[in-house]
Amino acid sequence: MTMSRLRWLVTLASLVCALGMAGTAEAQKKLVVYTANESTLNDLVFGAFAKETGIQVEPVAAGSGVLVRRLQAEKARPQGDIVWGVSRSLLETNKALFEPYASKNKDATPAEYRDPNDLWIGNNLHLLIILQNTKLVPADQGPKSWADLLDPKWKGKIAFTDPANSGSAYATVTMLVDMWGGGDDGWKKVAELFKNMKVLNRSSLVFQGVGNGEYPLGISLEYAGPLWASNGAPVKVVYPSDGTTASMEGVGIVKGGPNTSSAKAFVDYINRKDVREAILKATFRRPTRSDLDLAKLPGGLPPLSAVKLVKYDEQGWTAKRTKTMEQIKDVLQESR
Amino acid sequence: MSGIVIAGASRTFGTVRAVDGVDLTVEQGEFFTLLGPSGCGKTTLLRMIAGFCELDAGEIRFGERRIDRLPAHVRDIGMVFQNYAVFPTLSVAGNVAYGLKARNVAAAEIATRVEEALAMVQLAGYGGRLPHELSGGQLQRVAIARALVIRPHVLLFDEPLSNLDARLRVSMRAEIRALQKSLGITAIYVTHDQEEAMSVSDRIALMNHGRLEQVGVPVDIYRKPATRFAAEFMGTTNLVQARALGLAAPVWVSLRPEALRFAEEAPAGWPHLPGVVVGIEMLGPISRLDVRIGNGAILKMVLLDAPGQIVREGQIVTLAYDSSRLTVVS
Amino acid sequence: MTILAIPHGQRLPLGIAALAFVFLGLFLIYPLVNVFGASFLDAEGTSLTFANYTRMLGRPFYRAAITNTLEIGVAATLITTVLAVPFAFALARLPIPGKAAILALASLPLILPSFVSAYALVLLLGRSGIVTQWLQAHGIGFGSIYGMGGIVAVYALTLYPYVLLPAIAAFKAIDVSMEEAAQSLGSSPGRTVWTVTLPIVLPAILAGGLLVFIETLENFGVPFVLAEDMPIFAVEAFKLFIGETAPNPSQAGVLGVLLILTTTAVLLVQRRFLGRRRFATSARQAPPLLKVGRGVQAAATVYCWAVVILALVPFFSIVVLSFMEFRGPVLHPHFSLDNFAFLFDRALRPLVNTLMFATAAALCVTIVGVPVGYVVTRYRSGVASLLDVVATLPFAVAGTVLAIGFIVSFNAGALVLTGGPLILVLAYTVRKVPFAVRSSSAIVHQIDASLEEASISLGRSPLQTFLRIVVPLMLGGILSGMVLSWVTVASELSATIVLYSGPWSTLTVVMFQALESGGAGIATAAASFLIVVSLLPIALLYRLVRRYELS
Repeated sequence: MTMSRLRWLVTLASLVCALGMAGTAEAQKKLVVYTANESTLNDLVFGAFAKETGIQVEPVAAGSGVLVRRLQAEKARPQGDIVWGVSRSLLETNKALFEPYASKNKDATPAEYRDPNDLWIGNNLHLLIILQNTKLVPADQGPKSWADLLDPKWKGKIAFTDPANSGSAYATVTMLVDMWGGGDDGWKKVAELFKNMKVLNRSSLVFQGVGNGEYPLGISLEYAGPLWASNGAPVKVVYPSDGTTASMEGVGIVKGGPNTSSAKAFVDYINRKDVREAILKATFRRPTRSDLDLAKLPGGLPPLSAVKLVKYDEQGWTAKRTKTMEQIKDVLQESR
Repeated sequence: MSGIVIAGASRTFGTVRAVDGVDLTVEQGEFFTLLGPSGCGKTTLLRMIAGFCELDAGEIRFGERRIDRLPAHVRDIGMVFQNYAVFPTLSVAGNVAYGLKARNVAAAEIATRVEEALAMVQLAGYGGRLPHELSGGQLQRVAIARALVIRPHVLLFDEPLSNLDARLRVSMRAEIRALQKSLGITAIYVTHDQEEAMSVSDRIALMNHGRLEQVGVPVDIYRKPATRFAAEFMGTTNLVQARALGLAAPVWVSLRPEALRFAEEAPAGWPHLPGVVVGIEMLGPISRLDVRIGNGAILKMVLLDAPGQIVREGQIVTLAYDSSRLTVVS
Repeated sequence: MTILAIPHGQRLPLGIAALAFVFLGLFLIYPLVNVFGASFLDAEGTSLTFANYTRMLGRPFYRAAITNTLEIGVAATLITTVLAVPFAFALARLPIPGKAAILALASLPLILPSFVSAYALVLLLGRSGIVTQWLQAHGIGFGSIYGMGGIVAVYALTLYPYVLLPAIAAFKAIDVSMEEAAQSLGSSPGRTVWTVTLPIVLPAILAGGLLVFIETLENFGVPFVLAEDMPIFAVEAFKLFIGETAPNPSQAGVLGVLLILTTTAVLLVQRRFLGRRRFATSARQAPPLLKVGRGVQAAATVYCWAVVILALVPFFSIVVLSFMEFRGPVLHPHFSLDNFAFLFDRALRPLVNTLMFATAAALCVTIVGVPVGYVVTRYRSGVASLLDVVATLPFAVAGTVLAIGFIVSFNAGALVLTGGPLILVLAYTVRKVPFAVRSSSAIVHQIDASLEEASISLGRSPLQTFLRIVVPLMLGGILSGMVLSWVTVASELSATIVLYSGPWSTLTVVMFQALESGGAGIATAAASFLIVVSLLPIALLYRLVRRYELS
């Protein structure tokens, strides 16, 4: 009796295996993209790209930290062709893994958003902003600036991401250190801010938290606001009056990847004007190209010129990252 | 085929010498018992023969064939365990057929032999049952049939009856003996029960502290124990210094209770001893008496019940003993 | 006749141990050495040093992480045990209606990946959760689900099956004559349970408690969401390994090594403790149900059902949510089947992959784990102890860490595995082997060794004996281990996310990505689907086990 049951189980197992193998038969032009973007954006772009070029994208979607660790581990025998949606500092620090390629859209992209040797090119910009849940804090009673966040009335009400796990959070902290006087003065004020914040482990927890009403305020990225608001959540974006900076995300071609020619087609594709417009419509990503008319597109993103921007020494802060991270952890621990 | 030779077998567990230089020869077809108190090494010795315990030194041969370095499953033995060890997942017939299948016996022959074996242990018709439907005695019969059916070189019994009730033990041991004799298979039987050992065995090896205390036919070990341990383990006995019985030699002697009588009932020529009755235990057919003799030693004796016999505590009596049944022990 | 140095009684166990060491050496130790090696090197990576360790342990942040983690682990283990032991006793010995249903439902919390449970709990019990708001509307103040209390509560309610299942088996294996003996000596029934029954089942409870403790050390899905900014060991290790900004392999290695050392220490203490007290129970039949008053029976029934249902709250809420409308990430409480339509349109392949991987891994886990479980239980030697520790190590290794080790180790050279499905199955196998080892070890404890000797004496080699006699006797345990592996592989995320490639994505990856990017609708639909699919093997198991126990 037990034997026949076992046999039945084995049959089931082999059936499942056979089903799986059937899926591998499809052999055509393909492209392996390591993407840190959200699935909405991935689905949109990969589908349209395949339709247009016939190149099937096999995405490996994960956090950018995971993706970069994978790239480094696979250096001897790369498995991916493209890394997409990772921050400028990660692109910079892993330049050695990339293959230079001068994109067809190179000239439409300002020089500050691409590598001088064409090892990577920027796709979109995240402005560092404050998200406000207007159900918990009426629209006109929220903070107007970074400095407003230091008010003790916000204690425990500001969601933030652990800079160890988020490049934009790291940029926020270091930008504020500089903005608030740099050096010890800057750190002292940042420590004040940390006392008001809940430091969460992942950036998605911040916009989910503000969107679902767990936290009244969150320090997040620009696109999250219109994404939640347009779907009916009481969320508003505050562009800090004391200035902010734009954190760039871009794409690079993996050196020695299995499908480099398809990879080049992909890099051209995602910075094309019409594609950027489609992406902005669906996911509110502010493009690095400066030739889109934001006023005519949904989301209400102000033109970059209308936002107060401060100078941010990205290269400098990237260089001393390990030490700065330890300092942040100490500040964090002291603020508990 | 011929018997089993054990030479210099030894095994130490930690600091305990479980089996300590045992030399033993078991004849072909013999029913041989390893007897002794728990911890004496009898089970270890049996497990050495079975192959479940390594020898530190020495060797074991089945006839000319040295087997102590062979894996257990090629030694050709049949073993019966104290807790039956009947496979709960197999039917009775499946259990009995198990060893035959391992030997690649043809299916038709397996069927006949299983039936024969079950009939031998009086379980004909039980083949389809599952073990949990059987009683303890029936389980042990299955275990015996399972060991017999492969016609092994030797049958090993590891206290096979100790989980059964007293009445069943007595009838089963007779059955085991009869089966073994009718099949002519050499058997080695481990028990701590001297009565069981005497009833089934051709010869007994009495063990203590990992060593052989005495080897011989049951009646010899009973009547002529070589050591004080042997004398006491094989049944009730009086261990006294020869001097107490009025003998000159400075030795210990064993005198069984049944070799003592009251002087008036004893044959002429038995030496006499004066004494006082200090204890009486009436058991029905017999009474046990404790009698203190001259030097203060207490002798145990047995009286067969007889009409009119009256013995009281404190009574002064004269004992007589059969000096041919005195055994000097070391 | 050749003379082998290995005693023949030891050849099978040593052979199994050797194969197991080769397998675990290649797929556990080697990758781990590759990952953790950095923690013993100085900044230049040239000379050996413990500086990373002293440095990390000197930082208050990481010391706080260690303290928090241990406090949570101890609290969760104690509470889980206190919760599960009376539950197990009631199920084993009291007349409770719906026992089979309770048992089947009790395994369900393991199906839901912990990051999904955490998401559901925040929606229900977060600061603006549905339940929280309802309670507040009725004037009932409700503390926060965040922080230590919330994490401990979630662990207790999701991990209690780890203690419950072995404890039930132990309570059923008790020889009732021991209790009768105690009562005949004048002990009251309550005192008998306390002084006789409990000590006998203690080893089983401890073994379950150990699993809970190790799981709390390793798990990061729950604290990731609920800890807010309380530093937690596994979370910090995760961030140091693959954090976006400052991955620091040598510091991450320090945390990984500390985690493994802690687990090993706990395991060795437990093994010593169990080794010293081995209570043989020779029960042939399950003890009879106790006769209790109606009040006690009602209380016990309410208690059991309350625990089971409470533990399933995240579960039900996910199922309900999956039938609601999500616009992007935003929940709108209307009935809708869109989530499922979207899921089947998009995630059919991952679904098939999940089923396939879980089945293949469950089979591999069984093939590796059952013989190992047999050896570590039957043989009490140094080799067996070492094997036990090595085979339990995967519990202590975060999936992410093992996965990175796999990529570093098997991307080039003699054995190339990256890019295919095999690497996932191997990683799952290594991660879940402890389940099979533990569950089969528990069964082997109850199999009389003389059955094996009987088979060997009848002419079957030790290997044949193992296959023909031991394996059929272990079948119940093997099957439950297999189902447990199946279910936990199907909900595995942390190794998958690092190792999957191309078309080999799984349902949990879909859920994770969806939740990350605000597509909660697809995530809940995928979770619901996983629940339904996992119910099948669980139901099958309970039918089998019941039949097995009846015969």
